Amino acid sequence: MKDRTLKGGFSIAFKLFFVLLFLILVLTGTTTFFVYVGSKEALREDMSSHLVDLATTTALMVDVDKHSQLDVGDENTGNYKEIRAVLQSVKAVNPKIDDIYTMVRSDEENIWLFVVDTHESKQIGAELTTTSHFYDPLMESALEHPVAGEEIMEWGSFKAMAPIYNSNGTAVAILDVDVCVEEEVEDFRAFRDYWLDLVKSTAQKIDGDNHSQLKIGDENSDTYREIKTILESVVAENPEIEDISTMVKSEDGAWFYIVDVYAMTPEIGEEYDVSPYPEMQLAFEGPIADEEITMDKWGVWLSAYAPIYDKRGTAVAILGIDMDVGHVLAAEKRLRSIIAIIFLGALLLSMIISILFARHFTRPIDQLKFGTSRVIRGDLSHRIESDRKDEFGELATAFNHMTVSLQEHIEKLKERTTEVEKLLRHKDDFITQLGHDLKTPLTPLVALLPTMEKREKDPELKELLEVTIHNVNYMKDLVIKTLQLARLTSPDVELIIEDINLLQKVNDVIKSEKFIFKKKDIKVENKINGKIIVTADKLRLEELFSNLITNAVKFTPDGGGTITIDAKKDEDFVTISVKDTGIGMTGKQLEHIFEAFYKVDESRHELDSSGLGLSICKRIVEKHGGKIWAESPGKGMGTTFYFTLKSG
Amino acid sequence: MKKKVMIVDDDPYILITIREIFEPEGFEVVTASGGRECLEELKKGFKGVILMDIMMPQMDGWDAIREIVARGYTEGNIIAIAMLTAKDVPDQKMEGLQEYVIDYITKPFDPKELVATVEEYFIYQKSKE
Repeated sequence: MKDRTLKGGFSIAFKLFFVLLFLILVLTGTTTFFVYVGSKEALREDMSSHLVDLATTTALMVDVDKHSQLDVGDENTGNYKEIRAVLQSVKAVNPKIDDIYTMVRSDEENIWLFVVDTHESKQIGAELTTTSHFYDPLMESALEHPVAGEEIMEWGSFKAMAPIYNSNGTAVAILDVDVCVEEEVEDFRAFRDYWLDLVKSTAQKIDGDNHSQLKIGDENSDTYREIKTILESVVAENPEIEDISTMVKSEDGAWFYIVDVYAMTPEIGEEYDVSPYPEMQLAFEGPIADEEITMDKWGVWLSAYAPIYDKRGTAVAILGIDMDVGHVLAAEKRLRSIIAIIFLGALLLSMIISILFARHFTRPIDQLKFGTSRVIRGDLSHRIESDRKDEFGELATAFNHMTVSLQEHIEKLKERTTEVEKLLRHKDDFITQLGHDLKTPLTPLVALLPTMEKREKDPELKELLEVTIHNVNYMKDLVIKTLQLARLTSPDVELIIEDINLLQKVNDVIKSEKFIFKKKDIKVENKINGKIIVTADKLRLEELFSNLITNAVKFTPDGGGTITIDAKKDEDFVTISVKDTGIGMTGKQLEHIFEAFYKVDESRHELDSSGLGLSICKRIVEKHGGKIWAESPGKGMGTTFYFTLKSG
Repeated sequence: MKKKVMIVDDDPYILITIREIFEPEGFEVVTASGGRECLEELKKGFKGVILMDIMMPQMDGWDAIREIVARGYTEGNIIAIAMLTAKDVPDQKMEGLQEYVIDYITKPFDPKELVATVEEYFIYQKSKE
C-alpha cells in the first residue's frame, strides 16, 4: 500500500504549523521581549547609575570656593588649571569619557554658563585609532596630495587635508582641518576649493624637517610653538574650524597627533542653552543622568550631572560628564541579533514539529481515505493495517469490521437478488407458458362458436350460443390483455426504440382493425401530419393505438360515429389525440379510467371490457417517458384520449 | 374453380376449426399437420392461400417457408402465406422472410376477420390477372 502522506498531510500540517508557530512565537516573543527589555534596562540602569556615581564623586573633588572665584578670562589662572587637572585625572581613568565640565546658572532662564571644560588640544603622540570617530580613510590619500570630503556630512562636519613635505620632497606628515558648517552652503564647489587651497597653503608654511624632529614632550619647544602659532592664526581667520592638526603615520599604519589646536573649548562664561535637556535642569537638585542617549556627529553619548555644593550646602554649580556609550549600543544590537536568531529558530522548530506531528495524524487518515476509496470502487476485501493502540488504531479496526460486515451483507444480498431474479424469470416463463396454453384452447372456441351460432336454426340454442360467445370473447380479451400487462411489468422486457412515422403507423393499425369499423359503421379520420416522427417501440406503439382505437369503437353506440386521430408537435414532444363520438365519461369515471380492471358502468353487459386496456396504454406511455390522460365534456358527448411521446 | 386454403398446424382442433370456418364460405380446405405435409401438398399442385402456424414441432413455420421458397413455390404468385401465431413478439427467425408473408394473424382470431382477409387476397389476385 502506497503511503502518500506528504501530499495529503499538508492541510493539517499547515494548520498545526500556524497553531504551533503562533504558540511558540507568543512564548518566545514574550520571554525574549521581557529578557531584552530587562537586559536593555539593566544595561542602561547600570550605565546610568555608574555614571551618576562618577559624577557625584567627581563633584565632591572640586574645590567649590576656588571654582566660585573663577571669572571670565581666568582660563590661565592656577585655580582654573587645578580644577581642570582634577577633572582630567578622572577622565584619564575612564577612557570612555569624552568630556567633564562644570557649569553655573546665568541670570537668564535656561541659559547656563560653562566654567571649566576638559576639551583641549592633543599632546604629541596621542594616537588616533582607526576605530575612532575622528578617523577618516581620506587621511591615507592625504600623504600623496591634498584631499577634501566629497560632501558636508550630516552634522555639518567637513574635512580637508594636505601633505607636509620635508626638504627632500618626501611627505612626512599631513595637515588635517576639521570644519563645522552650521549654515547652508550654496556653492559646494567653491566651498570645497576654498578649503583645499587653504589646507594646501597652510601645509606649505610648515617646515617638514623641523616637524619630523618633534618628539613626545616637546610641547614647549620652539618648533612646536612656531607650528602651533601658524595653526592658531588659521583658526583665528576661520572660526568654522573645529580642529586643526598635524599627524604622522607610523610604520605599522597607526596615526599619531603631533601639533593639535582644538578650537572648541568653551571659555569661562560661554553660554549654553539647556532648555532641550530636562535632566540637566534638575541637576541642581540632585545627581541625575540623561534618560535618552544622544547621538551626534561625534558618536553616541550618555550624560550624567551632579550638583557642586558650597559649605552651606547650597548647589552653586553642576558637574557634567559625557560618556561614550557606543559599546552599550553594540551590546544591545548583539542582543537583538540573538533574539532574531531565536525567533528564526522558533520558526524552523515549529515547522519541523508541525510536519512531524501532522504526519502522525495524517498517516492514519490517509489510510482511511484510501480504504474508503477502495470500498467505493467496490473492493470490500481491503483491510487497513494498523499497529497503533490509540483511537486511530481503533478506527482502523472498526473500519475492517465494517468492510467484513459489508462484504457479508452484500454477498447475502447478491444471493437474494439472484434468487429473486430467478423467481421473476420463472414467473415470466410461467405466465408466457400459461398464456400460450390458454390461447390454444381459446382459438377453436373463439373461432367455432360464431360459426355454430350462424348455422344454428333453433332460436333458443342460438341465444345460448350467443351467451357462450360473449363469455368466450371476454375470456379471450382477458387472456390477451393479462399477457400484455405481464410482459410490460417484466424486468427483462426492453423497448426497441426507433424513429417511427406516426401517420404511417396509425394507418397500419387502422388497416388491421378495419373490420370493427365496418361493423358499427364508424368512420376513422387520420389527421396526423405526415412529417411527424416519434421515437418509440414499434410494437408497443401498435398495441397502444390498437387499444385506444378498439376502445373508441367499443364505446361508440351502433348508430355510427367518427373517430378522429390527430397529433401536435411541441419542441421535444408530440401530443396525440384519439377522439370518439361515443358515450363519453363522467368526472368520476375519468378519475379511475386508467386503473387496472376498472370497468365503466357494469350494467352495460354488451360491452366486453376486461378493464385492462387503458392500464396497458398507461404502462406503455409511461415506459416511453410520456403522459396519458382523457377528457370528456360529459356523458353521451364523446371522449378524447391524449398521450405524449418523444419526437424524433 | 374453388378457392383453396391450406392450414398448416400441429393442433388438430385448429385444423377442424379452419375447415368449419372456410368450407361453408365456399372454400376448399386442405389440411397439413406439419411442414412436411405442407410441402407434399404443394408438390401435389396446391395453389392458393397457406395459413401457417409458427410454433410447430420438428419444422416450425419459418423453416417451412424457407423450404417452400427453396423449392420455388413462391414464384409466380401461386401461393400466399399468412402466419398464424400465438406469440405477438417479433421473431429472430423471420429475418429475410418477411417478403413472402402477406399477413400476421394472432390467435385467437376472429373467424369472420380471417375469412375476410383471405377473401381479400383472392380478390387482389384476381385483379392482377
